[in-house]
Amino acid sequence: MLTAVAFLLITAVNMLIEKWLGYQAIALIYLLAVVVAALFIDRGPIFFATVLTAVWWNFYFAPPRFAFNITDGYDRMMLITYFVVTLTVGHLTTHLRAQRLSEQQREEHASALYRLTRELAQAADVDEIFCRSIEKIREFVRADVAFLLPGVQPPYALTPYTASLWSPKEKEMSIANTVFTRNEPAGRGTGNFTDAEGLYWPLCANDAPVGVVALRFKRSALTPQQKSLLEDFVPQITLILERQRLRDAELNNKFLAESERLGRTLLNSVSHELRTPVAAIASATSSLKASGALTAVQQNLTTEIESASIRLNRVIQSLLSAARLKSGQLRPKLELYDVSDLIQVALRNVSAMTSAHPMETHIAADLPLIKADFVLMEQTVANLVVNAATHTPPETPIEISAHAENGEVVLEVADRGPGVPAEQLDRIFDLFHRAPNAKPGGTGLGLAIVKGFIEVQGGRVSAANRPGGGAVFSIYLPATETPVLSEETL
Amino acid sequence: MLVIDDEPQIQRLLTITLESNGYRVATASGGQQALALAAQHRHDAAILDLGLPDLSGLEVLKRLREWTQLPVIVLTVQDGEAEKIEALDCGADDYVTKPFNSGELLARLRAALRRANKGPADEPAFVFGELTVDLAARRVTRGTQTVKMTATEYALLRLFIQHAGKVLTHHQILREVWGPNHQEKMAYLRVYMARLRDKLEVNPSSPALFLTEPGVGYRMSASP
Repeated sequence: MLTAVAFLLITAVNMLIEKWLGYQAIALIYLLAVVVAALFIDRGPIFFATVLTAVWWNFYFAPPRFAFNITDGYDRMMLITYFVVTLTVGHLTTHLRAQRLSEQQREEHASALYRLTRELAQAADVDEIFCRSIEKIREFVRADVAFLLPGVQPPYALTPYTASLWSPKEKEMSIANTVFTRNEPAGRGTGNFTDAEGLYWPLCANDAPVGVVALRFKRSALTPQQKSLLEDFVPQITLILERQRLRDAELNNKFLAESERLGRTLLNSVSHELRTPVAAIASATSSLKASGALTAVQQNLTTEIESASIRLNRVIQSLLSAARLKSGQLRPKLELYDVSDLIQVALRNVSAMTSAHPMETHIAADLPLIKADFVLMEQTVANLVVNAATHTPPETPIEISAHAENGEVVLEVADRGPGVPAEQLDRIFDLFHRAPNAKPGGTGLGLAIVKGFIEVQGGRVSAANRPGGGAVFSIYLPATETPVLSEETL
Repeated sequence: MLVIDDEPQIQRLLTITLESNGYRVATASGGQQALALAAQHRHDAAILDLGLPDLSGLEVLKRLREWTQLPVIVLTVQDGEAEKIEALDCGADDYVTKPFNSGELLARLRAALRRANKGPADEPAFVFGELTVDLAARRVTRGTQTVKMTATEYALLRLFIQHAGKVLTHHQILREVWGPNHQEKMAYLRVYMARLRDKLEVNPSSPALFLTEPGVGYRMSASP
């Protein structure tokens, strides 16, 4: 527009000064004007101006006036030179300007990227990286920014990060999900879902998607420069994010190891402090009883102290076992064992607590060996037997049986007590679960420990009611192959 | 008698129990002190707690074993099966689990002292109730009946008789009977133990002769 006005003005001036300078100088003035204009305008308009001025010069200034034909050879030469010079200059300046512009853009791009990287590198944690990224993208792209990240737990649904500047609606989230799974951008300004409110760009680390950047534009969509900037931004953000996450994970691991060590130390010292006095009490009473110097009453009292200390010791043992199970510090030492041997040792150890009940053991002949931790198994069987003895009336029998079934060794402890209410069967192995009709006594730990111990050894447990009354607790452990031994007797 | 325990209460308890049974007791509450005491005076036996503050009980045991065959009974916590096994493999004579029964402790102590005084068993015959094992003739009889045994069964039985009353770890048994390259053949040991019990126990489902030491090994009872 300005150029057009300028040319009109020049034309007017030319018309005035023509009589002093002659029409050929006018051509030179036009040439000067076009060359100067080429510094500011592009090739197209320059061409247009050249044609227009040339035609006008030819028509108005060059003789014959008001006609398009040129008779003078010198004028023809002039016209051709005029075209060649203006077009060349126009082309060159346009090219130069384009080059300068692209250089400028490249510089802007690089400096933006540099500023982003520097900002992010200074971030102390993942949250700060997100916040700074949001701020930077907003600044460069002029859009509302949101980070959509998958949840930590299944089904890993994408949710907007807390510091996001907007949150896409439900329909938009489905686009984001598509972007997340397909790992390619979609939404406004892309080939897919062009009518969407936002633009969704995948965050991807090592070819695996880690989230989605969502942009909502106030006015227009991305310019090509912004798009290319975004293309560079996103991997940079992901890279820094991943590095920070790795660093966090490493720190977290260190922290976990430290807390595990602390927990173990605490557990050991508590275990030591609780057990030592109980051990002293139990051992002292056993010495007292063995001394033979007690009256009948004293003997009975000592027996009471002894059984109380044994019971207390069992409770401490249970609590420590539960604590170890809970903290995941239980590492079973699996070896091959004979089930009948195991049952026999367990029964011997709890005989004092189960003396009111007749015990029946049925062990199938040729029972395969089991791979188990003897101490855990012994405590398991002992817990089941004591549990049965505690919750059933005196004189009711407790049956312990073992047989092989479908490649498993099944160990059952069955009683003839009141049984377990059907709705309690599922929860009976839960920690601190106590049946509502349970008699006082017991910590609610015994069966939870049974379940925990068996599961760390690769087995499973179940509880059921028996036909004819009573409950049965079953332990299933994988059977091993018993070696076939053939040897001549002496 | 040397008592090595860092817990004053357990130390006192052991002292009282042992002294009331006619033993003279010296006490140490740390590993270094124990080693010094053991070198200064002659002791008949030591009771060693594996959980010591300075040197580990195992370390004390190893250093003692470098120069003396002093009978050592280790005191361990309830679920310390691994340390029991290690202590036994390092040359401990026996172990007692806390909380210990004083009768049991004294019995173990007496058995260890007896073995130490007698040296390795070299009597030609072993008698347990109705069971007689004539080591010279390699004959096993139960009442009047001869019991037929395989070579491995007999080797196992002889090992137990040599160490009657003493606990043997799985590894010790496997090494002695099957050789050092068969220390992992736990299944064999289980099967053979079941067979020995079947053939020699009065009631195999409630053994009185071959006792299981939970998670550690087996012990043959020296007397019914």
